[in-house]
Amino acid sequence: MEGGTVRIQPDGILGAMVASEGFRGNTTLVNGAGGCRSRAQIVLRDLVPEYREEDPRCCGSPFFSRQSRLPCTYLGSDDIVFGTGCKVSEGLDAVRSVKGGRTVLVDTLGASLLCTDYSRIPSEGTVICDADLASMSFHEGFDLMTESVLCSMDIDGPGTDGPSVNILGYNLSDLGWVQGREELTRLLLAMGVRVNAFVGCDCTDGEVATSGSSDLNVVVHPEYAIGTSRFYSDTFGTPALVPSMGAPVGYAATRSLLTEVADRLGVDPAPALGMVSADESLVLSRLMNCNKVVDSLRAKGFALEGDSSTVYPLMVWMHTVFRMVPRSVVLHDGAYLAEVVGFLDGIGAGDAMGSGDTGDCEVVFTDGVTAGHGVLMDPARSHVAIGMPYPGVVDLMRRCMVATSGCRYILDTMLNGIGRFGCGQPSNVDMR
Amino acid sequence: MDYISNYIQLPIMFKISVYGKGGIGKSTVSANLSHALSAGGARVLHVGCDPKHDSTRLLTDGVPVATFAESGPDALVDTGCGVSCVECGGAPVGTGCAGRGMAMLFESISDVDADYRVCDVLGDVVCGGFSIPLREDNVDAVVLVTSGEFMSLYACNNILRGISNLNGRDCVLGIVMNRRGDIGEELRVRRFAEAVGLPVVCDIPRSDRFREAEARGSTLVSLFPDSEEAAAIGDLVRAVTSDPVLHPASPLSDDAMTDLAAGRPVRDGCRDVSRSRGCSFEMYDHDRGMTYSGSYVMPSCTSHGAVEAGLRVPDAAVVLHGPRNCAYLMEYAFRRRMLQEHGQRPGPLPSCNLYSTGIDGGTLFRGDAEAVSEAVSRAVSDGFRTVFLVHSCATEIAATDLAGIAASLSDELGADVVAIEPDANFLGSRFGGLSGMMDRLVSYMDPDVPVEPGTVNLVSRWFHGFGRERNRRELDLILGSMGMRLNTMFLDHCTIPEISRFCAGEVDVQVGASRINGQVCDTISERTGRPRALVLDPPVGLSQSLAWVDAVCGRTGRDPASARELLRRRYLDGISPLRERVRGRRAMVYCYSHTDVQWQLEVLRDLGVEVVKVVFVKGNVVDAAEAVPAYDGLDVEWDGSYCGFLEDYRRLGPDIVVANDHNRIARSGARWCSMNPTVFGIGGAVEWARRLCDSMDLPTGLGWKVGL
Repeated sequence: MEGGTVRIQPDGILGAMVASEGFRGNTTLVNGAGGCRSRAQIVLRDLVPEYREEDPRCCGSPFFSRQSRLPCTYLGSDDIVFGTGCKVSEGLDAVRSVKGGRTVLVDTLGASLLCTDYSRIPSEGTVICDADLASMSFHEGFDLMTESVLCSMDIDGPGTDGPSVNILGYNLSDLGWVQGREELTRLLLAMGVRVNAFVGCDCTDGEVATSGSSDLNVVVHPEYAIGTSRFYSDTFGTPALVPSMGAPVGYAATRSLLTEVADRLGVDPAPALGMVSADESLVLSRLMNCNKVVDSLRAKGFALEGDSSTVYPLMVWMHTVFRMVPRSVVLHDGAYLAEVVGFLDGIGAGDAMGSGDTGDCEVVFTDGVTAGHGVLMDPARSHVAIGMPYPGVVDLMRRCMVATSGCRYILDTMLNGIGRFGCGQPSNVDMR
Repeated sequence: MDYISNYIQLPIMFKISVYGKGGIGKSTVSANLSHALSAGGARVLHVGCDPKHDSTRLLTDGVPVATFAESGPDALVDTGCGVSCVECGGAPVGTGCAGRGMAMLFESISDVDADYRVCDVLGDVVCGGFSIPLREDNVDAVVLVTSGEFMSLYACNNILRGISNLNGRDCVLGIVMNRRGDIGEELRVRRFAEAVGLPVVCDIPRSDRFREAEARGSTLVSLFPDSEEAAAIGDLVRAVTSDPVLHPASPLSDDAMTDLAAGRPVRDGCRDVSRSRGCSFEMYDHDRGMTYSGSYVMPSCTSHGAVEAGLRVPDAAVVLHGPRNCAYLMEYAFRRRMLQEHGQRPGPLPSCNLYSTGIDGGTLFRGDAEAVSEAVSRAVSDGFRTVFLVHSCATEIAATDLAGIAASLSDELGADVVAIEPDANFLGSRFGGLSGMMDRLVSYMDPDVPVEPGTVNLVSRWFHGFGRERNRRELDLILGSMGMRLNTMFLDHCTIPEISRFCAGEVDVQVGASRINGQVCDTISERTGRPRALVLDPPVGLSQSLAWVDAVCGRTGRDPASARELLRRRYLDGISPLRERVRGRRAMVYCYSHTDVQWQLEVLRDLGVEVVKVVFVKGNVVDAAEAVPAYDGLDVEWDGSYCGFLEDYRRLGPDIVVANDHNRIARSGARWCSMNPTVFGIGGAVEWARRLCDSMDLPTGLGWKVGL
């Protein structure tokens, strides 16, 4: 399997692009060579399933090069010699005239070495992130860009119209984020809690405008939202809730999140918890019909690699519910490092931390491309995609990671991916 | 002590940048200025911006200080006399990027509380190290240091050009004349000053006292406070402290500078004309010999082609010297393509042996050799004995010496570490670095390998699916008809031993007439002494398959007759049963870009379909010297358009449109058939003919789009 594992992690430049594209009112202008644009475009097309028609107004401008998404300054050798100032200022004008709204300029490393003086560019309607994004992780770049965009927006201050929250950290890198948004909104609404904004996850300017009035920021994936959370705290005094069990991945972590939100806001979580339990009951009853496969997972190994806020609850879920044993845990960040290490040590599986050895594992939770490779080349075990990059999946099955839909996606992929034929009686009535 | 001016409390820090030609005395003037300002009671932050970090030694008793590159924010040193010092430092001479480091330094010291900041800046180089201290946020007053030497004045004029480009405000305080003692130097400096409209704010005599002070690691003003030289520094201090008058940067033209050098009166009206340029997007792709023009822009890249080619050598590693993001996106694209091609190619999915040096701005500032060494070491410890080092645009800008690093790593690690030659034209190709990588791979071909009769090598940058099993069957059928077989497909997942055995092939075929493929074949021929490869298109249809037979048999002296007959019979056996379905129908061909459509026309003819018109749409990519086939007896429009097509379509009323731009054709409501084959060879033509017949019988449009 090692040959099929994506080994290189993206840096803050891609994180900044994904964050910027998570605001509906933004157009992201890449300041770099055309090659920097073309593949980032493919990543983003994978992450945004909605069909967005090409805007014919983009045809006339070379900054768009006949494609609407991620316009680019298309730096060439002349620009390297004479500087990028001309293309940056004309590019910003071109994007503004075609798209309107906010233009977010993201410097690639090559462009940043040319040290364009952005202080001379009119700041209205423009967000410029000229930090050394290449030195940052994907998460840090995402966080910095989200904060930078928020700083440029008009956001209303505190209000008083009923309990409401913002969701921070949840973003387009969850393949099924559209479904994830719907799920979280539905569950919170069942407790009488309104979601004002999923900040950086396809949020509109209108949603963000109300985000300053939220009573609480629910930091679903804290690795993506430390700075963003601080921004709301410093600007509006909005408190933040970092879920103790990580992101709502699995039934227990979902219930935990809902309970913690209810506690902080003083509302009754019962209706939402009831919805989660009802879904869980239905799923478990289905699992009873294939209990041979499910039961066989006991003491089998599993491997995880991904964001710590996803890995932690997923690991606890697999171990607690299916009695599986983590053999390899690789984290892309440290947000839940202590919790993960504590849990592994607690169950005597401390060696799994950072192991990277997936050889003795029945199930591998990993990025989409690695999982796709595993499905084709290693079909005897299960490979579940829990993060980007994805191999160009057309998702019609609501494959999100969070809440009850996330539970179904994970269980469905995991159990159907196990290539084992259970010989013997198809059913065993007297044992049920 | 004339150099001391009593400090007047300033509301905000006043920022001074000292510029001038390299070696003209900027550091000496800067250090004395800083000391003198502090002696007047001001708090001074002295910033040495030159990577050689020698600006502050006169303020620190000659003791070098740790640089910002080495120690980060801890590099700020308090001299105890009211001056805080920091040296930017940076990568070893000739490497790295001063600009990025400067940006980091200025960010780091942005909250240092001082009354004056004195920046001792690099000479008149064109990079961020020069420009960042000039930005409006970073400077209030620029001081130009010059002697009477012409090159020093020329440098001052260039600096003024830089100021006018980078900082639109009036920000030039004036000129410091640092005398060398040349005859007539005062006159030259004053003429220059007058011509550019600047005052000479300080006239420093040539003096051995400066040398003595430097030898003792001190400023002149502290050792000789009552000297004539200290008094001159005092003039500069007063210009800075007593309501400084700032002037615009008004550089002279080159003609005016020539007048100055010749001692002639400087001509009026010789102000420098702005050299600002418009934005240009027209790019020449040197790899493919074509120009991108109009609104469609070449997505140029420094490393794409080199990495993509290198990853098709499964027993070698590719180290991309660039930020992680570049490598991440290339790994993603490679793996995604391999996943999508799964099932078309036998065996396991190719692995992706790509490593990243993971550099950032800080790495380039401090020096990037260690990052390269670390990444190459990882590849070697993973078992790779051949490692290709590829530039990214960032490291080309920083002029990293990859060849030198590769040579030393080869010795150190005992592996074949190879720096891939970057493109001659920086950012001048969509497939950056491809030529360099292909050149390198060709060098592995061993010309002394004995030739194995009856074997064929294929050469192409990209094999258009030749690796697919079905295509290989078709290819084997064509080669087998001549009693031949395949030796190597260069470059389609070939190991280095396979590449080294390339010369075992009896005959070489260049697949596709592209310029890139031609260059590779030329190189192979030059390096190995083999005859130039035959140039053939991927064989689709009868005549192209027969062209392979004729060319290969012609080169090897075989009789093509039986092979021709075998292929012809197979073709007719496939086509003949389909004729009755479509004979007498009418087709139009619409082709975006100039592509050879001869095999499609051949199939249409053999099916008995009348071709009413062939339309080519040129697009914005201008092909240079691309061979255009002749289509005798057909109505061909070479420079058509979609609108023109619509008119023709309505006028001619064909039964079907054969197109390679079916998105657009589908919108027209026409019944269409894609012109692209799914398989090469005779089988591909027969399969396409069947698809054409089916398309004729199917309703127009696509059902799923109805109602959208």
